[in-house]
Amino acid sequence: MKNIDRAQPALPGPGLWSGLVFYLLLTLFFSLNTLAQETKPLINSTLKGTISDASTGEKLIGASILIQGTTHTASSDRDGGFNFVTGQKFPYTLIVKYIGYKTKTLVVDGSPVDVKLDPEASQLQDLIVVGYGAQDRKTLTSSVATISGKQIEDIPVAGVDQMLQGQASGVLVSSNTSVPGSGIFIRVRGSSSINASNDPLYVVDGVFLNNRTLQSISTGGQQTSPIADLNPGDIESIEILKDANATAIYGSRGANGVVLISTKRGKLNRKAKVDIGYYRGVSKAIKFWPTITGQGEGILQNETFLNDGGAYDKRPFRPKSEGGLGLPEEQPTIDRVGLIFQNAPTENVDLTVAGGDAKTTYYFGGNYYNQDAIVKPDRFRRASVRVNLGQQFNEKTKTGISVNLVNTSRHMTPNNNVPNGTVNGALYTPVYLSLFNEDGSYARPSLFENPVAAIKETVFKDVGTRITGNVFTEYKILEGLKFRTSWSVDFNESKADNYFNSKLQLGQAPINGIGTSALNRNVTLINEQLISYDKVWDNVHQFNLTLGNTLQKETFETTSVTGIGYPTDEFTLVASSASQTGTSRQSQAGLVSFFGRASYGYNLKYMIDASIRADASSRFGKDNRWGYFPAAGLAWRASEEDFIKELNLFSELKFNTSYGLTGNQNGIPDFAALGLWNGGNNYLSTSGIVPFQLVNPNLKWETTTQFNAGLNMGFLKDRLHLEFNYYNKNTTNLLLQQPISQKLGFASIFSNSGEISNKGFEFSLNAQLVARKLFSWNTRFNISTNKNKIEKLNTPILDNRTIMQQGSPLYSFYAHKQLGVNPANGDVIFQDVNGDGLLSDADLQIVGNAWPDFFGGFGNEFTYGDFDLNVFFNYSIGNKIWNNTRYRMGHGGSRNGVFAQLDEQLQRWQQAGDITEVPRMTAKGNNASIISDRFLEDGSYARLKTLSIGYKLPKVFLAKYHISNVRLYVAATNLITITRYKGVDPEVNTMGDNQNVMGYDQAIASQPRTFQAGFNLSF
Amino acid sequence: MNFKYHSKYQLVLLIPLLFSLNACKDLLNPKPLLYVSEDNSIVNKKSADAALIGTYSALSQNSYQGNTFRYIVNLSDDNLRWVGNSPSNREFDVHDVFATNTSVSALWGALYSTINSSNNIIQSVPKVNDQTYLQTDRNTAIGEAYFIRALAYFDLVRLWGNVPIITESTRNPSSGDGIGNSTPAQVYKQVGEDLEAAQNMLPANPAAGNRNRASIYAVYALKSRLFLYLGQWQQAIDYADLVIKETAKFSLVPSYSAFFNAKNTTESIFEIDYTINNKNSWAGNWFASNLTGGTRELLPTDEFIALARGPYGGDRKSLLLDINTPPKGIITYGNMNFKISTGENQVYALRIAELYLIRAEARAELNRTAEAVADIRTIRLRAKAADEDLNGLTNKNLIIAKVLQERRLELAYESHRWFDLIRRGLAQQVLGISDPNKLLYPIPRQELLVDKALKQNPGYN
Repeated sequence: MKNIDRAQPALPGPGLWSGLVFYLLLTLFFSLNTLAQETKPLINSTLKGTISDASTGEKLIGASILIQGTTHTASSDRDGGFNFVTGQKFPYTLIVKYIGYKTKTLVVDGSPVDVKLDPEASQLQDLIVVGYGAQDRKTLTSSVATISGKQIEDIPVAGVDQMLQGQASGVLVSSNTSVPGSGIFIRVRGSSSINASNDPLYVVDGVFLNNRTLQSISTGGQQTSPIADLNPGDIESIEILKDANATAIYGSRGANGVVLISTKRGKLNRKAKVDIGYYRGVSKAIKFWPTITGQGEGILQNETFLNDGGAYDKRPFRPKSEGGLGLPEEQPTIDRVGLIFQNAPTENVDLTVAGGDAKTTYYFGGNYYNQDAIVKPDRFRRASVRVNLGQQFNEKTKTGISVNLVNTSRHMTPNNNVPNGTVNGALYTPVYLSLFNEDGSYARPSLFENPVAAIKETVFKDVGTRITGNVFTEYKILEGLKFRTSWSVDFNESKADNYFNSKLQLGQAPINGIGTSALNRNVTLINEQLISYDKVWDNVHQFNLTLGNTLQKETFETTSVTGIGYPTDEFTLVASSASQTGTSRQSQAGLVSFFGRASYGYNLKYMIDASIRADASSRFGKDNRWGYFPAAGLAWRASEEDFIKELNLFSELKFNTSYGLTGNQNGIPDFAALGLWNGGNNYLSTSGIVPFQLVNPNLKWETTTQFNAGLNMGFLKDRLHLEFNYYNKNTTNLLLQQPISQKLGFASIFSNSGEISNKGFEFSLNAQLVARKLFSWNTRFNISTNKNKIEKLNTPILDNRTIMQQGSPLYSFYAHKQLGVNPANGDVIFQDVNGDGLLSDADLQIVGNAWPDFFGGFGNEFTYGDFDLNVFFNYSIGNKIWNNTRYRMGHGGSRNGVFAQLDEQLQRWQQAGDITEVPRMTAKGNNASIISDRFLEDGSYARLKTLSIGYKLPKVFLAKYHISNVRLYVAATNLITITRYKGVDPEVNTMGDNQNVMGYDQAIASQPRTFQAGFNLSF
Repeated sequence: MNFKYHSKYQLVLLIPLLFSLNACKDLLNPKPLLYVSEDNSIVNKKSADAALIGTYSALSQNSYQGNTFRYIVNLSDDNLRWVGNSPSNREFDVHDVFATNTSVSALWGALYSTINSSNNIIQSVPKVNDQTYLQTDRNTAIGEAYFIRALAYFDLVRLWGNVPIITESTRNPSSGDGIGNSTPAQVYKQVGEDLEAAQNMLPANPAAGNRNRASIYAVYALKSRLFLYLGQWQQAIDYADLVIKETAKFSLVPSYSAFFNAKNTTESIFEIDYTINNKNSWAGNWFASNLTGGTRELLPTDEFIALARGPYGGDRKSLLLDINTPPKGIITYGNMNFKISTGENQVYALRIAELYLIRAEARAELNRTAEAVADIRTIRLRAKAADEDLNGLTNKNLIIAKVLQERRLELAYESHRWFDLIRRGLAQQVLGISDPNKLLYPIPRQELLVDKALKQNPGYN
């Protein structure tokens, strides 16, 4: 800490970079060596034959054929045939090996031979990816949800996060906004943190994906999502690790669950398979706000004036001849909202080529996605290329390279939560006021931006570049013992430019244009070593041991410059401006980890496993650098017991339980533990320093202990599968920005304090109801509950209409309870909680929370001949929404005519005896503007999320053109929504950038209803 | 094929491990480039100077002098009315402020962060081990810090009355344990002591120099104001005299509008400076979005407009601006607050005109009526306003009423009126406040939740 002036390299230190470069060279070196090897077999006699798959009869290309006792090998050709030229005489013993198949030894006595290989047992298993390995689903002791490619491939979606919605139990997913490519609210088994992140850890093919948004220029509550960089078309399957036994191997980052994404790879000895997918679609808003007419506005404003004691002949909406604005009935109703919405096109093209020969596999995926938002002029575009290569050098060594290049481009506008936002301008400006001035310029008669100007004049672009690369080599030391080393880089860069010209609210004279250009970069380097040992003794004792270490370094940098005063609106770059201010920041974090896992299974009947990870993070105080995260699990497959088998009822019956510790360290500042002063506190054009943060040498992870109990049941040869889980998560030592007395000159300190619990049940059902050749019907259903509670918190924390306090859940809304409107005088009567006869902050109370009582999804897939039908619902029941749009617009005259009003305002109290819940119009006093639970609503909904109908063209017809498959389809998203919510959409969260607020609706457009048509073609 | 060569290359696989071991040390100790550690904060002259600039920066921040202080204090009086849309700001206008009010909490936090910055200077500068840091320079820095702390406590006691007094720099969250509310008398005593210390530390007879930093004259002027509030009239006069007599350094500018049309005129004793690198957002409260991107939440009251446009307004009426873009008919307080694009609306924290009026009031209290009237007349005539009403005035109370009216006009929107009404006992009657507890603001609710030593002001919970 002493050496404050030393400059640091812009990129992470030399160690990891040089390692990465070295490793790339090393891989290249090996490849070249491989190519250089030539074999020259002796020619004496000849054996011909073919190698094929015993079950399918498929010819196998590249199988190795060895004559026992010699070094002579041959390999099968494109038709599975081989031609062995050797000095040996018949009979002799052949050993045929092929990856993924059992090795076959046979005695041959004459040519030709036909060798049929049996697939290895593992190929038949239901293998799922787990942390640092793969496991048979049957032997799992932990709770893992799988979303297979099949489940999602027929549903066109924009992003990975949307693929998860309603698909897995225990995973709560809700879109924040209708803007494509922006953040999504996602929680695996509840929320366990206040100031650290609640987002799961994303791991793509073993590479930790950086989930930090790079958006540096606020658009008012919304954030771009780094997960939107992934092309859904590249995804083979998604596994969501939910319980501690599954996630503890991710140690200090496992507490929020882990989303493992596997991308598609080529397979050995497969002909190139080309898939082309294309769809087009159009999106529109589901619903608009019921704003009042110009006449209504006039009536209400006059009433406000008169109620407040104004003279009748001075009322604002009186005839123009009397100097007024005209009578209410003469007022126009200008529909601004309609002007900003559009029927937004969507377009997606996918091209993938996958295949392999005897030693090399390849996958190439290209994607172009373009979606306009329903609110002009927002747009999201993604172009991505993924290349996955695998190379088998020999039986012992293989290597692989994955590279994903992504370019994203977003058109954005300020939205939702700022006066210059498009929706704000359209919705909040009173409707009788004109859109343009007499000279044709944009009118801004209220506080808000002119929505037409916002759409037409705003320049706001964000271009992202993402390069995710991984190279690994795996070496089989002995049978069952493997060593793997892997090097990864996740490079994510965003270049954002905005410009508000002089026609816009932000840039008008005397500012004369304001523009910002920002470059943000996040680079993560990861190195990992893994040793795994698999052994089966006597066919019944299964043993696995995995050991490894990880080094990770993350560097975040941002540079931005802002210019003010542009010569004309034609100039948009900062260089043209009159005065410029700039800034640059940098931050860095490192993580050093060691981990291990051991598992033992007896005869696929009893399973026990345990894992531990040790993490050291630079983010924490010197006194608490290392954290240890152990977990263990047990499973009993009762269905393997004779007494259960005799029942002849279950095809699977498994009880499993686990317990373990996981941590969380994401989302807090990189230097949260240090006592710091910062610079840039200017006075008299000199930079000064001020105290910034208090030191906490004891700062450490928050720790989550989780208990999980599960029951898996399969019936009718697993055609019906049920899974129950119960979990109990308890998070202690919360990483809390603990408020401290501001008399100390600081508002808070990062400390470990507080406790949160999440408990819940999960149930999912998968059934193959009909499995005929002509007609099939699969159904999936899941339902989950989560009970969240803040068990301990030293002091309540208030945050945007919500309160966090001991004994209540997170996302609790805090307001005054409205008992009614006094029929005598039209004032709201609020509950006087402390009975002191006054309305004060002491009368605020928790009036509900944003957690659903239960949520989930319900999907059905039907096929009839060549037709398929997919119907998918998701639902959320019992969640509350704070409708701040209604609160702002239901001001009852207290906002000086600045805000428009909603139709419901017409139900206001007018005269003694009126029974209504809308108070009288008045600009005086606080009564109508006090936060009332009148604006808290039931946000329950069920939604037909997707509906798709597809048709596969007959194969006979296609064969002529060498096409193997063509599917044509139409799909619709958000077709039907059942809800009592009064806002435009119950799936909403304006405060996407504040993780402690959920279910807050403010001037946000609904989710789009989308219709799509497209085709998939393979050859 | 033959892969024998592999056996000797297998070791090569381990080489990358060496790189990783090398990387380990770096990984766990990254440098926070954007910050310096607490131990490195004030260690030599250069860093002490930077910390002092930081203290001024804290004083000038938007949450304090830049905007929030001005907003709250001026909206509370009868010169300003609220026409915005944010309900929490409305609370000041209707004198029904909730303890959850975010502006109250922001100002409270900003005041104490300014105090903490000052405390750091006062505590650390004497200990700095730097030969080049001369004792006189150290004294000046400490004196300035004392002045800033005095100003902050003065504002705290005027707004909240019973506030905790912190005089040690904060090193850990338990630094202030057990420090509860002090009485207003104790806080005023602290202000007096800090000003005394500042007076002893600052150079005794500086050149006019930098009006943007605290000089001994700023200390005299603030002392004069302090004694006015304490009713110690003679001291108020004495300290006002100490500045007024320095006519070469401080004098009324000939034309009223000159003091805000240029920076740092002779009018200013202590003027908080803003530049494009250190902006404030005050102007945005006055001007509408259709003009400047502001929010137009504040407008002069009709009563003030009438007064300024009446015979006693003089040049001061020129500040009122008729807005002719739609919606028409709005009159705002322009020019002085109009630097919206650069955010350079200075704070005239102490200017010579105020000292004339302090002296006038104190003289009147001591029945030196002719001298008092002369001081009022000086200010009137500078504004080119009528002064006939002052002729022959001898009644002490009438003169004091004239002083108050003059303060209301001359020092309009310079954050005096609310406190003037309170200290003269007129606030309840003039502003129609029935509950006397509402003359003090509530201590932020979050403070009471985290600090058991603090008590809420009476009348709030």
